[in-house]
Amino acid sequence: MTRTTWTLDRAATFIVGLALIAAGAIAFVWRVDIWTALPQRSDTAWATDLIATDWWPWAVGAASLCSLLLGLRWLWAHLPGRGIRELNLPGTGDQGRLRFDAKNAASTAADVFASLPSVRSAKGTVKRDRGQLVVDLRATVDPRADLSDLADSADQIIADLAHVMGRQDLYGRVHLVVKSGDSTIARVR
Amino acid sequence: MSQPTPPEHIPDAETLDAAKVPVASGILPLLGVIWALALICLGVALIREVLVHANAVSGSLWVAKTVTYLNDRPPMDWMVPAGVAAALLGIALVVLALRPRARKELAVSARTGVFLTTASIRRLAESAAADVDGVDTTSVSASRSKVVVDVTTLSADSADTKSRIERAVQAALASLTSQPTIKVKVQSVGGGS
Repeated sequence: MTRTTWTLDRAATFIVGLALIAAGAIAFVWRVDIWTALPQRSDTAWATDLIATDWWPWAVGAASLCSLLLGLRWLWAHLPGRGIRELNLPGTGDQGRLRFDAKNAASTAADVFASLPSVRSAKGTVKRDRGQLVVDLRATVDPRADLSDLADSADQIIADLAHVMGRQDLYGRVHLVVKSGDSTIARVR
Repeated sequence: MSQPTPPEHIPDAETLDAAKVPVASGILPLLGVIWALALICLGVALIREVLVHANAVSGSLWVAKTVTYLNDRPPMDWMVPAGVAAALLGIALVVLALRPRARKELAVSARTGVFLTTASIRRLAESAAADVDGVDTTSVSASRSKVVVDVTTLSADSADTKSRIERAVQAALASLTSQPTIKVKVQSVGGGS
């Protein structure tokens, strides 16, 4: 999900929240009659006049299309990120483009990480997160794994990947997910 | 698929800078999906309205019907509880919208960004405590700032077991950049602590 979608979700939730507070407060105040400026009975004559105008069906048509398209686009923005497949390499210019298969590079780094004894499996992706281009490795590790060793290995593998990719704007992130059970290390009871 | 053999590492290669600390997604994306679906439903209802206007579809005009229904109505008793409920829900939504995303992971000391969730920290601590000699059962709860280890022990010397568990859990979590407070509660199977 992009930062724009996050902001939109936040803004919409805020606006719906304010609208509910306002509607709830007006309904309450109207019934308990503590605001005398409010009429004793509802009056929607202005709305009746509005929907009787010639341009009303056109306005409804435009609003329907806008709602539908915006809603579908918004829903689309919530689909899980598919990650970045290719990246431009330094040297890309008018003469031609140098593209690099970032997805495969991240997958290979994950495979190397997964080959460590205390790592059960690992997956690698390249994605955009809060304005950063991030190489993201997610590894399932044994509960008896040495965190310090894993961190050193992660540093080294990410360093190798950085060297291969040659891009200065990349950031690294390794999630270690500790899973219990099925320990690869034998334990005597 | 054959296991890849680790390639020869590049000595002293610069690793990547750590990415921002991962944050929990929380309920906001779900609310976003609900608003998006509501907008799509509204769009469909309005398209139907246009088609009824154009006589392409038979049926009543929903907007006109609603406006007529709402006209000349007095305030009702149900508006008091409904108004309070709506306002409370609205306050909850405003709070959700303004609250920053929760950080659910802790960083491990590394040149690039290596992170662990609190659930992972709990399992590491649980495993470290369970491996201490004399420990029978373990139960651990962990947050970003505190790890509470609850064990039952077969050993008569629970004070010694407690200090060994503390050392083991500390060693297992030593690489975290921000050390959570570790609290160990020991109960002998025979009773007492």
